[in-house]
Amino acid sequence: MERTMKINHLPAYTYGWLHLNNADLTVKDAPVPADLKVEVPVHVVANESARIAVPTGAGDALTDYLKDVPVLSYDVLAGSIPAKPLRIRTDYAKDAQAGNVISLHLNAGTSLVAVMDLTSEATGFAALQTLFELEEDSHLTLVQILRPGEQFTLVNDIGGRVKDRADVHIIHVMLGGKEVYQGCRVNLEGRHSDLKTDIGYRLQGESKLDMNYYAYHTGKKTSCEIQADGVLADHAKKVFRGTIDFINGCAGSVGDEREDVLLLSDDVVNQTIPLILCAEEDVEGNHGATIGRLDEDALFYAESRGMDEASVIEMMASARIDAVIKKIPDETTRTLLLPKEDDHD
Amino acid sequence: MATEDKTYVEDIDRSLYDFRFENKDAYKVDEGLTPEIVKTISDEKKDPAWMREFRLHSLDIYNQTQMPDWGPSIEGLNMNNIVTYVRPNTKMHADWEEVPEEIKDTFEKLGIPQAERESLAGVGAQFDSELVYHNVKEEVAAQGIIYTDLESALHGPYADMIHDHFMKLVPPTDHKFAALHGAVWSGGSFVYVPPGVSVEIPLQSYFRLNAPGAGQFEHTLIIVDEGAYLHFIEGCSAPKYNVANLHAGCVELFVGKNATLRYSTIENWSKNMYNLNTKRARVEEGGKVEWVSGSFGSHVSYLYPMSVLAGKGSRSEFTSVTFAGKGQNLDTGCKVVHNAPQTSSVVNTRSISKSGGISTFRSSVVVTKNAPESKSAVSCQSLMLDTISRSDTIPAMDIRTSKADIGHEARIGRISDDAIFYLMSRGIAEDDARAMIVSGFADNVGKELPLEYAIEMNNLIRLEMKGAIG
Repeated sequence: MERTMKINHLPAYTYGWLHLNNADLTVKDAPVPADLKVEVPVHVVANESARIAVPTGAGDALTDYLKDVPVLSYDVLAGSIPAKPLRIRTDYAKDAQAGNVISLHLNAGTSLVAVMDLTSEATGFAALQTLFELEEDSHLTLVQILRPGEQFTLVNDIGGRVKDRADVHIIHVMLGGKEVYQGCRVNLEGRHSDLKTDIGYRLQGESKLDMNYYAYHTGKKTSCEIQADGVLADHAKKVFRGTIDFINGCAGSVGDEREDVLLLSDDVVNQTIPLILCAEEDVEGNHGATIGRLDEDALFYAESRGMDEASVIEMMASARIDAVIKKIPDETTRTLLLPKEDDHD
Repeated sequence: MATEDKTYVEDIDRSLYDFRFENKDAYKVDEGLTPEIVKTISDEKKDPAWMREFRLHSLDIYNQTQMPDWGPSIEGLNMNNIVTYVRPNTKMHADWEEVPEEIKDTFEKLGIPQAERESLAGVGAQFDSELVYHNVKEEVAAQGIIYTDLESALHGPYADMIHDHFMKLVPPTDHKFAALHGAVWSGGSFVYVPPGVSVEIPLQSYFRLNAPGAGQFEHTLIIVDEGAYLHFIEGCSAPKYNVANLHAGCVELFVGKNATLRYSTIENWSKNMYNLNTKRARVEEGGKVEWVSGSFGSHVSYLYPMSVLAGKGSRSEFTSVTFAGKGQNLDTGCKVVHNAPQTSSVVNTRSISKSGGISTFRSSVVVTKNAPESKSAVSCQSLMLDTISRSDTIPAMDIRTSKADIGHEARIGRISDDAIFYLMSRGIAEDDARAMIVSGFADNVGKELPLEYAIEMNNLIRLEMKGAIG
């Protein structure tokens, strides 16, 4: 039965007329788990375990929607560092109504690179929720490539908990889709725990991307760095919510948030709301945003070297996304996404 | 040296503003908000028919409009307990000597007559719901400048101008308290500056709310015609009571082609005040609005002056400081709408929180498709002075043209230990060093105000920062 839920809530609401406080997501039926192709590296064990109880970026409504979906859990064995990534990929079927929940647990001192590549046929709906818990001194790199079809709606949601001296690096590459909803909340609970995100998106046509990144600092001397770089063309619409929340007691914490958006059409809609919520004196929080057209000096310089304007714009737009892709610590994935050298001929 | 000790910051000494008298002869309507009360106010004001209808329509809108689902809690505000109209037992005068002694004494203590003599071109003084004094210097009036109370303007030669502009920028449908204002507004000033006229020294309106449990709903309407210049200063204060008071004023500014209007406010309401004020400017081609704002008082504030850049090349500047102390939740900021080509806006704010106070910077910058080649730069900085306070930054940007350059930066933090150490190494006591740093932090506003007002603002900061090493 079709229903509409509110997801991607801003942690502190603002003027209603901006329509930024949350997003409406309409689902038709109960979710059916999609067939995921998983490559499990040595030292990682797939098991059945309960859902990690941690809030997510999309919020409780999505969690409730996925509550009956079986959880696929992966545990990194204590004292081990898998040599290869945990790879999860799926190509959602036409008219899918899919839902999956993945749980990652890193024992103390372990490390894991998890790469998820989500593609789809033209139409359908899918929701993927990734939950993680990082024990002391563990390190997770979570790479998610979202490449849904042009009439496909995709919800990619993350919720995680990070303990003492553990860190998570999230890399998101988002390309296309009719509607993509990205939720991400990380609770930095442990002393010296750390979150880093590198987000790259390129939207064109009628694509719509709605993001909600939330760093929740409770541990002392925690840090987060949220970096988003994107390109909007044609009639694309993007909402970026980014929140650094310093809870009383997280003394010595720092947070930094940057967004850089290149607008290539007068028909795009770019909405950005970067929040710093602060109930602790001994912290440093910064955010900055640069939104607009291509720098005229850069354009002039490239044109003076013989490039036409369209080629310059394409080069600059690709460079933003490529810079994020190059941060992926997995050559297979980088090779998949980066243009071949021959492509430049 | 006890380097880990924190500075103890005393609550502000408000004796300068916290005086009152029992105005037994004042006329009041009943508490609450009913059509009968609105009709009574309309009768009292001798409204023209359209205004009476406007008030009743606004009341309908008020009753149909929800409370905001964002911002500080206003649960402590019960409209059933608010007296929406209090008329002091005097008419409006143009000579301080004719103002009743106690009311005149109130404004003397606030320094208004002295300021008028020394540095202002004209003054309006409102006491509760009515203006008790309004005057403009002869040489200023001779330039064709109109500065009068709004009620007089409603019945005089400018009646049509009022009809054409009143609550056109801030319609009653804007939000619940704009509707409330439309229903029960009283007092406030009307200013018209003719084309090409530059008012060299500022005009000032001062709003004093004396009655406990009352609301003040003054309306300020300013029209600065083509090529003209005006600096208008707004001041406000009230004594503290144990019951909630409400301020839901409205300011509408029309800035003509190539005109400039600077609107400065030092807001120092008492800490039982709910300050739900709405300010908005429309700026035509080549025009400029400059907002300079210092927010120090109130229990709860919702205050976001808005600039609608409607003409090509129009500009806005917003400069503010907000200081939230014990028992205060001050939600302040601004809104800018770029709706014409080559418009530009600059936002530069500072927020300070101490003693459990909450300060929130909230803003929106909207650039529509009609505004190619527009630019906006927003900078907001927040300072936390202890671990029991709170400071939030909630800026939004909505950009709908590719040919725009939008920059935003925000920073939140505490006073640098290195800066304190440096000043102390030069022989300055720690609490003095902190006060010095906070004053410097708020200097973005201080340097934009006339000297007398900059001094008042610095006095407020000094009082807020007065403390001792604990």
